[in-house]
Amino acid sequence: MAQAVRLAMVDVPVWQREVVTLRDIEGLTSTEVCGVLDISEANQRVLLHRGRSRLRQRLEPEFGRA
Amino acid sequence: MRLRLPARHSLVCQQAVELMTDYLEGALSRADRRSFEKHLAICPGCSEYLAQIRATIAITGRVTPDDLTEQTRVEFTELFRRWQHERDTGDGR
Repeated sequence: MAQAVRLAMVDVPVWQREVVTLRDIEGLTSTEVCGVLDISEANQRVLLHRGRSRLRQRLEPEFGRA
Repeated sequence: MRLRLPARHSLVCQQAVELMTDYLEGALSRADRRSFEKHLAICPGCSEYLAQIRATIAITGRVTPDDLTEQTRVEFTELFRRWQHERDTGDGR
Protein backbone atom coordinates (compact mmCIF):
# COMPACT_ATOMS: atom_id res chain seq x y z
CA MET A 1 0.00 0.00 0.00
CA ALA A 2 2.90 2.35 0.71
CA GLN A 3 4.03 1.68 -2.85
CA ALA A 4 0.58 2.67 -4.14
CA VAL A 5 0.77 5.92 -2.18
CA ARG A 6 4.24 6.64 -3.56
CA LEU A 7 3.00 6.13 -7.12
CA ALA A 8 -0.16 8.14 -6.51
CA MET A 9 1.85 11.02 -5.03
CA VAL A 10 3.64 11.57 -8.34
CA ASP A 11 0.30 12.60 -9.92
CA VAL A 12 -0.45 15.23 -7.28
CA PRO A 13 0.48 18.81 -8.26
CA VAL A 14 3.52 19.93 -6.37
CA TRP A 15 2.04 22.53 -3.98
CA GLN A 16 -0.78 20.17 -3.05
CA ARG A 17 1.71 17.36 -2.56
CA GLU A 18 3.86 19.58 -0.39
CA VAL A 19 0.95 20.34 1.94
CA VAL A 20 -0.22 16.69 2.05
CA THR A 21 3.34 15.54 2.77
CA LEU A 22 3.89 18.05 5.55
CA ARG A 23 0.49 17.33 7.12
CA ASP A 24 -0.09 13.63 6.58
CA ILE A 25 3.44 12.21 6.33
CA GLU A 26 5.56 14.60 8.38
CA GLY A 27 2.75 15.18 10.85
CA LEU A 28 2.90 18.98 11.03
CA THR A 29 -0.12 20.92 12.25
CA SER A 30 -2.01 23.23 9.88
CA THR A 31 -0.54 26.23 11.70
CA GLU A 32 2.98 24.88 11.26
CA VAL A 33 2.40 24.24 7.54
CA CYS A 34 1.12 27.79 7.07
CA GLY A 35 4.28 29.05 8.73
CA VAL A 36 6.65 26.87 6.71
CA LEU A 37 5.03 27.68 3.35
CA ASP A 38 3.92 31.21 4.23
CA ILE A 39 0.34 30.61 3.15
CA SER A 40 -2.99 31.40 4.79
CA GLU A 41 -5.05 28.82 6.72
CA ALA A 42 -7.69 28.98 3.97
CA ASN A 43 -5.11 28.41 1.23
CA GLN A 44 -3.60 25.55 3.22
CA ARG A 45 -7.00 23.87 3.50
CA VAL A 46 -7.68 24.27 -0.23
CA LEU A 47 -4.33 22.71 -1.15
CA LEU A 48 -4.85 19.93 1.43
CA HIS A 49 -8.35 19.28 0.12
CA ARG A 50 -7.28 19.07 -3.50
CA GLY A 51 -4.21 16.97 -2.70
CA ARG A 52 -6.08 14.46 -0.53
CA SER A 53 -8.91 14.31 -3.08
CA ARG A 54 -6.48 13.52 -5.89
CA LEU A 55 -4.80 10.86 -3.76
CA ARG A 56 -8.16 9.33 -2.87
CA GLN A 57 -9.06 9.16 -6.54
CA ARG A 58 -5.76 7.46 -7.41
CA LEU A 59 -5.99 5.05 -4.45
CA GLU A 60 -9.67 4.19 -4.96
CA PRO A 61 -8.95 0.92 -6.82
CA GLU A 62 -6.85 -0.19 -3.83
CA PHE A 63 -9.61 0.26 -1.25
CA GLY A 64 -11.67 -2.66 -2.51
CA ARG A 65 -8.85 -5.14 -2.14
CA ALA A 66 -7.36 -3.94 1.15
CA MET B 1 -12.47 28.03 -0.90
CA ARG B 2 -15.42 28.10 1.46
CA LEU B 3 -18.78 27.31 -0.06
CA ARG B 4 -21.66 29.38 1.11
CA LEU B 5 -24.47 26.99 1.77
CA PRO B 6 -27.85 28.10 0.56
CA ALA B 7 -30.12 28.68 3.51
CA ARG B 8 -32.83 26.10 4.10
CA HIS B 9 -31.69 23.99 1.18
CA SER B 10 -30.26 20.60 1.77
CA LEU B 11 -26.71 19.92 0.69
CA VAL B 12 -26.13 18.25 -2.62
CA CYS B 13 -23.35 15.70 -2.93
CA GLN B 14 -21.00 17.99 -4.83
CA GLN B 15 -21.19 20.56 -2.03
CA ALA B 16 -20.70 17.86 0.60
CA VAL B 17 -17.58 16.60 -1.17
CA GLU B 18 -16.17 20.14 -1.27
CA LEU B 19 -16.72 20.47 2.48
CA MET B 20 -15.03 17.21 3.52
CA THR B 21 -11.63 18.66 4.36
CA ASP B 22 -13.10 21.64 6.19
CA TYR B 23 -15.23 19.16 8.14
CA LEU B 24 -12.22 17.01 9.07
CA GLU B 25 -10.24 20.15 9.94
CA GLY B 26 -12.98 21.38 12.24
CA ALA B 27 -13.24 24.51 10.10
CA LEU B 28 -16.99 24.44 9.43
CA SER B 29 -19.41 26.70 11.23
CA ARG B 30 -21.79 24.87 13.53
CA ALA B 31 -24.63 25.33 11.04
CA ASP B 32 -22.57 24.05 8.11
CA ARG B 33 -21.39 21.09 10.16
CA ARG B 34 -24.97 20.20 11.01
CA SER B 35 -26.02 20.39 7.33
CA PHE B 36 -23.02 18.28 6.38
CA GLU B 37 -23.73 15.59 8.97
CA LYS B 38 -27.40 15.58 8.03
CA HIS B 39 -26.44 14.95 4.43
CA LEU B 40 -24.04 12.14 5.42
CA ALA B 41 -26.80 10.47 7.41
CA ILE B 42 -28.95 10.09 4.31
CA CYS B 43 -26.25 9.65 1.65
CA PRO B 44 -24.33 6.35 1.55
CA GLY B 45 -22.23 7.62 -1.36
CA CYS B 46 -20.88 10.63 0.53
CA SER B 47 -20.42 8.53 3.69
CA GLU B 48 -18.31 6.13 1.65
CA TYR B 49 -16.39 9.04 0.12
CA LEU B 50 -15.59 10.42 3.57
CA ALA B 51 -14.50 6.95 4.71
CA GLN B 52 -12.17 6.81 1.70
CA ILE B 53 -10.71 10.22 2.52
CA ARG B 54 -10.07 9.03 6.08
CA ALA B 55 -8.49 5.84 4.70
CA THR B 56 -6.34 7.92 2.34
CA ILE B 57 -5.09 9.99 5.28
CA ALA B 58 -4.36 6.85 7.31
CA ILE B 59 -2.53 5.11 4.46
CA THR B 60 -0.55 8.23 3.59
CA GLY B 61 0.43 8.50 7.24
CA ARG B 62 2.13 5.12 7.04
CA VAL B 63 4.51 6.37 4.34
CA THR B 64 7.78 7.64 5.76
CA PRO B 65 9.54 10.65 4.24
CA ASP B 66 12.30 8.29 3.08
CA ASP B 67 9.74 6.33 1.06
CA LEU B 68 9.11 9.23 -1.30
CA THR B 69 10.47 8.60 -4.73
CA GLU B 70 13.60 10.28 -5.94
CA GLN B 71 11.52 12.23 -8.47
CA THR B 72 9.34 13.56 -5.69
CA ARG B 73 12.35 14.63 -3.65
CA VAL B 74 13.86 16.39 -6.66
CA GLU B 75 10.60 18.27 -7.23
CA PHE B 76 10.47 19.27 -3.57
CA THR B 77 13.98 20.59 -3.79
CA GLU B 78 13.13 22.60 -6.90
CA LEU B 79 9.97 23.91 -5.31
CA PHE B 80 11.82 24.91 -2.19
CA ARG B 81 14.50 26.71 -4.18
CA ARG B 82 11.86 28.56 -6.20
CA TRP B 83 10.05 29.47 -3.02
CA GLN B 84 13.28 30.75 -1.45
CA HIS B 85 14.03 32.75 -4.58
CA GLU B 86 10.54 34.26 -4.66
CA ARG B 87 10.73 35.05 -0.99
CA ASP B 88 14.16 36.67 -1.31
CA THR B 89 13.19 38.72 -4.37
CA GLY B 90 9.91 39.78 -2.84
CA ASP B 91 8.04 38.02 -5.62
CA GLY B 92 6.21 35.76 -3.18
CA ARG B 93 2.74 34.23 -3.30
